[in-house]
Amino acid sequence: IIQKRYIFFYLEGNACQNNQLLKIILAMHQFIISSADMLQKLFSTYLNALENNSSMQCVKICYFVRYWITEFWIMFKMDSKLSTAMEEFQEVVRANGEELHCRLIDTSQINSRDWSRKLTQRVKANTSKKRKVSLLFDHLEPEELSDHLTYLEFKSFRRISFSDYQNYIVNSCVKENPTMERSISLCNGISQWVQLMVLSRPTPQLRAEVFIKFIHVAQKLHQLQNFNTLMAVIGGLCHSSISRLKETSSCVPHDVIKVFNEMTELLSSYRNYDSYRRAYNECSNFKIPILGVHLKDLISLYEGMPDYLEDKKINVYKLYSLYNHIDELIQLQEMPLPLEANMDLVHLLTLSLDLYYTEDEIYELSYAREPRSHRAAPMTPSKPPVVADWASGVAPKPDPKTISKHVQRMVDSVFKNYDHDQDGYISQEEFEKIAASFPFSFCVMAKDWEGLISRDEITAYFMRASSIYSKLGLGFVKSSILTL
Amino acid sequence: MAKQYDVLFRLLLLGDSGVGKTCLLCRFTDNQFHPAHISTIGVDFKMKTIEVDGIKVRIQIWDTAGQERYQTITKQYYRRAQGIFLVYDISSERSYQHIVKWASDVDEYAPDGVQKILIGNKADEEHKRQVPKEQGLQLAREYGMDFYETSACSNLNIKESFTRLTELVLQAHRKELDELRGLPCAPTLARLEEDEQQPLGSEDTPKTCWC
Repeated sequence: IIQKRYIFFYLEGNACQNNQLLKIILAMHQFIISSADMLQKLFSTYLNALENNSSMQCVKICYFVRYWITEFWIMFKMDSKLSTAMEEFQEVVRANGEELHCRLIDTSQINSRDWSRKLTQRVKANTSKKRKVSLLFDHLEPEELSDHLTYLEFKSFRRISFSDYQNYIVNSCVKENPTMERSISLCNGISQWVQLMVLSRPTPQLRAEVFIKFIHVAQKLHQLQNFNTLMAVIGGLCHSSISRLKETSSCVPHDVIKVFNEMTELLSSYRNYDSYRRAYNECSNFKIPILGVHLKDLISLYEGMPDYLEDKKINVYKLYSLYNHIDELIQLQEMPLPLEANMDLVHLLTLSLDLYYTEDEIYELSYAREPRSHRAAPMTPSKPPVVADWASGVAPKPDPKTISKHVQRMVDSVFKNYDHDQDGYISQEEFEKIAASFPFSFCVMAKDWEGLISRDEITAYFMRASSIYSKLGLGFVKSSILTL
Repeated sequence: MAKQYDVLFRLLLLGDSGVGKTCLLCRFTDNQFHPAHISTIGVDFKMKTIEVDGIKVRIQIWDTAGQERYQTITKQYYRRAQGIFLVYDISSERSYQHIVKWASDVDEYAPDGVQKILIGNKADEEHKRQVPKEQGLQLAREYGMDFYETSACSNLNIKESFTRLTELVLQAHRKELDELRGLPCAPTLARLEEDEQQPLGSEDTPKTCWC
């Protein structure tokens, strides 16, 4: 009823005048009332008006629905309850023989082209496919890494839709919200990858080199205004599994440490991410926000403001603030990506970031590299065992299909770039270098590779390595560390 | 400038997404937050001053809303917290089980001597209860923590639990506090503070530390 009053208010006040507000109400109504219920209310109002022979009113309602359909057609495609309610409505209108009304509330014309375009939305980056590239981590320039991480980040950021944000706010979980889940795992994957790449190196000097490289990557990410990946990289380097490596940090030059400190300060949660917010607001054009910070704002707004004001009026200001917040994020998705991506490198990184380690596994690796202290026994467990359920409950489960797809693409890219005579084999030497570019490189190869290696063998290797790391985890790490 | 309070403490709410941490915070601070300049300072809840043992304690509460799944972001909050609420939802067995994980994270990342209490939230949803009160008590005993069942809806134990944690933090800092009382202008604890009203870009930005 309240809702109805509001709608009428805007109906009578002429849709044009209150376009912005009307749009916000339509976009955000789900916080207050389900779409199907709202349509139902409009439907019953329509019926009332029909009984009273108030055709003006009927037309108004139809125009309102028309506006809803044109501006938010996606809702009618995505929400099955809404589309069922819509069909009922249409049927009744048709039965009453008002042709104009029928046309207004017709949903069959929702542009199928728009629809398929929305579903297959792609990042329009200039992807170069011809150029051969090095797929070796050590050969990759910080800029190449930052560009390709940004490509992946933007791709996942763009997929998050308006309703994904709304669902996240209301349900405060990523269940049934795959785009949001994907974006968060990417972030966590990058942080873990950064840690593992550092930890995969056997000596403090070599680990320091990787650390320095990631600081340079971070600088490039900062230049690209990709704050989300910047947070993931710096977060990985700040993690105590890395920061506790005193021998490693003693090999890092002071100027690099200085940059590192500046970055941590920029991203610090101090005063509600004050430094980040300022830097972010000063940036124009292409930028990727630290999603976590903005999600927190959204949740705080949602929880902190009442749905209704006195007199049971809807708190329009709340809807308005939430709308503006989400809209700002959505606007950023439209920016053109200011870089070029090489798909082979994208494949390499995608597979590298399929990580499903637990914190404890990474810790154990860190302790193995630089034992806790000389006095303490090296392998004493430092923490109580964690509930086994935790890992599966919180980390997304690896999906064998996805991993297999990523492995296939990666192997294709390897052959494209390294099988110079295109005979389906690459040399052992090159293969070992490529394998060393992955975070699971320290998993000692069980087999002695000799001479040429076939596509099948390589595929099998990557499949084994990825699935070991995503499923068995620690057991394998331990045994491989012992043999290092 | 005269101080409105004697000491400032930082408390942190931890627990799974959806256990109602933000609700607890909203309730406690009477929904007072800064929505005005969201893009510049973000949505942040106002601090609240309460009086314990005749001492005016300003408490600043950090909430990790919406960020629980980010492995590196939440860790930022641990290091400088002096008191931590471990929150689960009595209608979610899983959120209760995860307390073990949150508690072990606290051991790993939070400073020594940090004070903790256990909260079973949404106590008004008795019909959906999955975690008996006794189970919460037992876990709290194992960890040597106080335990409250709270409800943001019915305002049950909100003030009590916040006051209790503040008392515990006060007790843990008893020594510094005695110094504070002895001296006319209190230098030790005042330096810990992180005041919203400070001019922007003031010099004594604390060292940022994440994990």
